[in-house]
Amino acid sequence: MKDELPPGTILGNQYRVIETLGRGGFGITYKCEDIHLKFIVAVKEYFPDGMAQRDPKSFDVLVKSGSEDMFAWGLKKFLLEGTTLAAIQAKYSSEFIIKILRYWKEHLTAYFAMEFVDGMQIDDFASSDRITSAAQVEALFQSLCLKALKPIHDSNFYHRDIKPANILVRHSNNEPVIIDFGAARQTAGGKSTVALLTPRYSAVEQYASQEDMDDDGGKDICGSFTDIYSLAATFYFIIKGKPPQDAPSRILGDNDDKLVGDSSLSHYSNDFLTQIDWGMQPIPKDRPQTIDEWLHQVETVSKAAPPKGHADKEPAKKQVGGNPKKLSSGITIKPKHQKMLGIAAAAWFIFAISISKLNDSEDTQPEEFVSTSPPEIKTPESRRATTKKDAVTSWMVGIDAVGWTAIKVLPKLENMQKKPSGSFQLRLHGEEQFRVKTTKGMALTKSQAKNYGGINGEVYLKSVNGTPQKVQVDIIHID
Amino acid sequence: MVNRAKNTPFFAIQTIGKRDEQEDSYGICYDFQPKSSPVPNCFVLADGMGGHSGGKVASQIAIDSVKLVVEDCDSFDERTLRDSLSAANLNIAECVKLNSELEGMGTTLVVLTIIGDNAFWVSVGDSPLLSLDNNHELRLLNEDHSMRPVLDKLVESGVLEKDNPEYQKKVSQLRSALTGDNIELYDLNSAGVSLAESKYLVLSSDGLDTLSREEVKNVMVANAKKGPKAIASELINAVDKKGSPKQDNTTLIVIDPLAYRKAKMII
Repeated sequence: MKDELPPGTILGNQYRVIETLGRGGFGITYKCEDIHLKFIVAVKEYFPDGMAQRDPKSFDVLVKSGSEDMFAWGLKKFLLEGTTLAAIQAKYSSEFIIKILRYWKEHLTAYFAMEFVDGMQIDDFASSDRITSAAQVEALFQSLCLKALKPIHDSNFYHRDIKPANILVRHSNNEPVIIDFGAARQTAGGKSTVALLTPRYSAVEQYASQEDMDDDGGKDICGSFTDIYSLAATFYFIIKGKPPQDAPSRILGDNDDKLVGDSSLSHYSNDFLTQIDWGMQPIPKDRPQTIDEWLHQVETVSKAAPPKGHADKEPAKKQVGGNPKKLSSGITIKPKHQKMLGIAAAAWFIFAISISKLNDSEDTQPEEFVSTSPPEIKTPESRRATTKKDAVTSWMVGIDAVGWTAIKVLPKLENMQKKPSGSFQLRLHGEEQFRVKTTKGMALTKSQAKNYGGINGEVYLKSVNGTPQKVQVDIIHID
Repeated sequence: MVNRAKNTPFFAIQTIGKRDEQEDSYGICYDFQPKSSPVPNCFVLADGMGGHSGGKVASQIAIDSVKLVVEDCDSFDERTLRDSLSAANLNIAECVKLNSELEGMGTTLVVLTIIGDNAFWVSVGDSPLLSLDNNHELRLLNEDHSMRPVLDKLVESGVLEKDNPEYQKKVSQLRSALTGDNIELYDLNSAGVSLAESKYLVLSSDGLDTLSREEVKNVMVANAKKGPKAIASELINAVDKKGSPKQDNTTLIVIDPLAYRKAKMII
């Protein structure tokens, strides 16, 4: 794909690129092999979206005119991420925090090499068959508190971007590890009117304290309680199978999203659920202020009801929270590429599905109501631009009104490109109304796909007016 | 500035303020058979944002999209409101996809219709829909999707001080807007809000927020007998008089709901 270094590229005279692992707004992460020592590492390259482009011959990163200040500011933040990791590592050598190996400058940008984590995202793990009891979820929570967040906070750092995509669970020992310490850079696009956080997992005070270029000396109002909120929200997602509402909506609404008292969650200990509810209090001072304060309760819980004993009685998996990948029709889809997820388990399909649709306030609703083709607007801009050629694959699918029909997007994508990465838009045109659902529930638009780690599975359609119909499917390769 | 026929029960007006460009757009929609009904069935307002004229483009696309949906529907219902919003967002997405320099553009959108005694709307962003009631109370009808209510909660709970520079910097950030991405937050009122006590409705862009709500109310009350045109003009005058050096674009649609209902019934 455009901008990504091709496999085989040697970086820092030491690492050979094997493949791209993921791409975020501020960098590209590659899976690499150390050419001397023959082990696998993850290499992160500073490559801010929209501010730079790659010279195809020298692979140098060229800054776009007008973005110089922003690029330089982001580069400083990138180095800060490395030094943060190194500082924590120097103080506490924790298996639960990703290890940094080296930092260097090359191709007019910067890189660092990190340990490659062979694992899967914590939410995928929690809905996989590798988790067999509620106690395992509670144990993951305790590990993350004690062995990851506490060392970070004790080193005077806050992670500021705890979310499912930033916690991997190692295949080797089923223990969690926190990755991606680049949160401070998340707001380098700070001129935007719309807040650019990870909405579902960010605490409300983060909306009022985004770091940006114009440092005006505003008092930082974040603290340990900020990461506590995000970790609690992450576990809310794992427990309930759906993400919580974003913090501003939670602080404004009267939210009835308490876990304690939810009869469908009786396999979890009451103390654990209380803890998550406490951590998710919208107003910072209502939350535990430090991990110790939070942990104190964890220890009390442990003594009162050792998670192991209590959970061994529990039947397996199906009771562990909601399963985001389970379709209402009863089909369970396993993310096809789950095992490939390494560090920075970011989306490697970025889908934009362009349909006439609205997101209902019910987040879990896995179906989308689709009307027939929307009106076409011919603004001067769109008239001019429709001449631009895109790579398109189109076909017709007959869909049923009773069951869900898979439209088999993945094989088509593979036909379009040898490597299934890149940006695609999926467009659906039906004669009548139909519903759409994906294995990732609502992950239908670009932003959502990013949030949810991409659509790893199929897309399903069902006719709603009682009769079968034909739907035209277009996949457009954007880049 | 736009002038509509003198005796219409509504009046729309715009000022560019101290900006280089008018990024607000508005639309007055008529039934799909315009000849049979000279009374509009829907009022739309969009306040755009984004560089390279993105704000202007986004708000205009939103208005055009809504018009196409509304003027093509058989009956105005919840579905019409939802489709309006989807169509506007979808067309913005298409436009951004085809014009990368417009990336980041977006717009607020309020689609308002009055059926019988009730107002129905769909709203995204921070463009206020206000009602001046017969008892001279000014009410905000739609949700404010800016950071203001959130930051006010933080101030209230003692987490944030109002003089923290972050407050002023973040207060007008939007929590939701039409950018072509998923619409996380929108205010859909399909149950209807009674206008029985409403003397005037004001649909505006946030340029009006240069005036405090108290000031808006006072201007409206002072001109309450003069009709929508006088109220709209006097509100714009008051905004201009403030002389704010960064005065934002301001667009107002003022509606007299009683007169509107009467006009509809005559037809």
